[in-house]
Amino acid sequence: MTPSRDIGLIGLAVLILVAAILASLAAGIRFIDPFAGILAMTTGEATTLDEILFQASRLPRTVIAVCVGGGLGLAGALLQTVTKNVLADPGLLGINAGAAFAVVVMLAILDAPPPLATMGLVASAGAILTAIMGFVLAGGSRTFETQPLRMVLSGGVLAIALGALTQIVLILQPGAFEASQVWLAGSFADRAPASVGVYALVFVVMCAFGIAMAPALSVLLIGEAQGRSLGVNVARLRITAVAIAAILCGVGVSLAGPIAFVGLIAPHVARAISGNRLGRTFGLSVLFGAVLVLISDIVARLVVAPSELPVGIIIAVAGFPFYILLLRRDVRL
Amino acid sequence: MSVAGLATGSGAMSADRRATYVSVILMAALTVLAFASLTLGLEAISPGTLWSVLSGNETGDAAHIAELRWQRFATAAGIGAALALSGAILQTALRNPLAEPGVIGLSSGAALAATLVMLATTGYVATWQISLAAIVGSMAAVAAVTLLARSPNGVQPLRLILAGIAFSALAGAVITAATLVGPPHRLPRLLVWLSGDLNGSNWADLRLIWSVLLIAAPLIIVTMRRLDVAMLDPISGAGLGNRRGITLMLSLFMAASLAGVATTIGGIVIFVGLIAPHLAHRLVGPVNRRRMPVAALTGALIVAGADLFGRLLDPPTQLPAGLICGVIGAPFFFLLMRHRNG
Repeated sequence: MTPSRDIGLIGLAVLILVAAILASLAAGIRFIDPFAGILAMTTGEATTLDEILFQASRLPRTVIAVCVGGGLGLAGALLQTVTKNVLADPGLLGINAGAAFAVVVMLAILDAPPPLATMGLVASAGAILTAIMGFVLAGGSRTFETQPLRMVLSGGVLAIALGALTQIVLILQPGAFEASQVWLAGSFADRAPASVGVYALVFVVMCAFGIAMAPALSVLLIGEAQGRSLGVNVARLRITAVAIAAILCGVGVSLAGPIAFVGLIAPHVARAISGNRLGRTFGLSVLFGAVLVLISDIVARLVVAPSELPVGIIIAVAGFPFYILLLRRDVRL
Repeated sequence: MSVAGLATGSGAMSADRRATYVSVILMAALTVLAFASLTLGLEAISPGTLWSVLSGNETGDAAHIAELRWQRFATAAGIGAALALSGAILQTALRNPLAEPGVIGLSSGAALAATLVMLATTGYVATWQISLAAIVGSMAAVAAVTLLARSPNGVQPLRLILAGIAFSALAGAVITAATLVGPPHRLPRLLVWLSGDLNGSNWADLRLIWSVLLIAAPLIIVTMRRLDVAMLDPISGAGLGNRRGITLMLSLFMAASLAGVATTIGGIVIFVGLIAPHLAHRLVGPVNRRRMPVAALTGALIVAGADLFGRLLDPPTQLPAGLICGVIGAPFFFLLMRHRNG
């Protein structure tokens, strides 16, 4: 691939993302001109219905979709690289279910809803613990390398068990039940705008860390022994990458509930375009993850308007054929 | 006794005897569990009162409570037996030790079809009508998952499980979507049913699940004998005059029917179809003639026990048996996975 074609492709991807963002700002039961909305923000207080709607709902929702989609996309790319497993996805590995379980347990223990930073931290902790548990149960070595199918299998079973545990906690503590039903299906509706900024910041920082790890991780792809001989601390590298992925998942889950398949689809599309150059794969995974979730969210908003579906459902329906395709084509048995 | 049997060369004889002993012990355990289920609960019934209820001398509240608890226990036991048999059939027919109606998506397919029927129809829908839809959904699921996991070298076991897990996720998502957009007046019944709560079990549920079991039993006996031969290896099976295709179809039909009806009544109960047959294998060996009845009894014990546990854990809250099985089943699945690997 020539450099100029590369730049063209990446430019195209960015253009698609911008178009998806504008569409997400505009589309809904009520069409809002996104440029007018942005303009109104720079000039001061929201006065018209459109402006209020834009600032209180459309904008935060779009930012969340970008954070969640981009985060899950990169998390999937990181996990796939570290585990050398094309099926690694935070949803399918049970990592999102672990984050959701941690959040629900915390909600059940505390009387009042905790500050959002706490929620994100707890979700990330749950995500990391589940990731480690999944690797260990799949019979993985301490370096996080396992046979691909076994890891997806143990992740799937973990997701089932953690889902059942989550339901049990919700039944025993009915207070949290109603709100979390929609949240657990994965939804962006009704998120407090104030919290979005914090999450967006964490998202940007973590994405920067993740993409910055690409050169080091690409040494791993050549081979573990080669990496060691080049002075790379392989175990630490892997754990850092998994931790970044888990934090991104924790952020995503506490914002939108457990969403599967994004971390599977985005890196594969990215890889198809970028070849095996990791830095580009990671960056494009963020872009495509964001685009996928933005588009799914627009569909979720419009398909049963004036009501709406959780975005996780749209992605699950779209992701299933993709997953089967990968399972049939790319996984060596 | 089994050691003695092997030593004297009458292995088969002894294995049969062992299976009989095991079955008797399991039936005794089931009786104890039935006794516990009838007496324990928010309103305890003393053994003395239970005796007078059973002998027809007591007709007050205690009699009514005992009747409700009996319906619930017998329904749970029937569901457990049906799921265990379904799992055992699937494992044999698909030659896949990890196959199980919950994990490979039969229960989800059944739940999806039942949900759609409940939401799409107007007027009253009887449980048996929902059951029919569930059986169709269950069969569609097993057909879809098997086709999706098929490769030129046959159906690869792990791939089948993974396709099943993903199919379950998909079906779950569609069910959630259906509950969110479906007509509101249909939702209460649907939500109660989806949670897999056996709280409202009645004589109709009990009759339905047990009549399916009674119809399936002789069919299973006939089919499993053929399957034991056919699965030995396909060519010798054919040589012995076994038509493998028909046997396979019949087996999958039965597995789907049992799982479909069990799901209609008890919601999605996962892992039981895995645990019970494998425990039975440990207890009486791999031959289906001996394994099937023991698996059915074990499954009955597991689901009825889980239901009792869910009822007693934090009364008056009731935890669905399906969730409890989902939690206790996962460690078992990992043990099995590791065991097979080692």
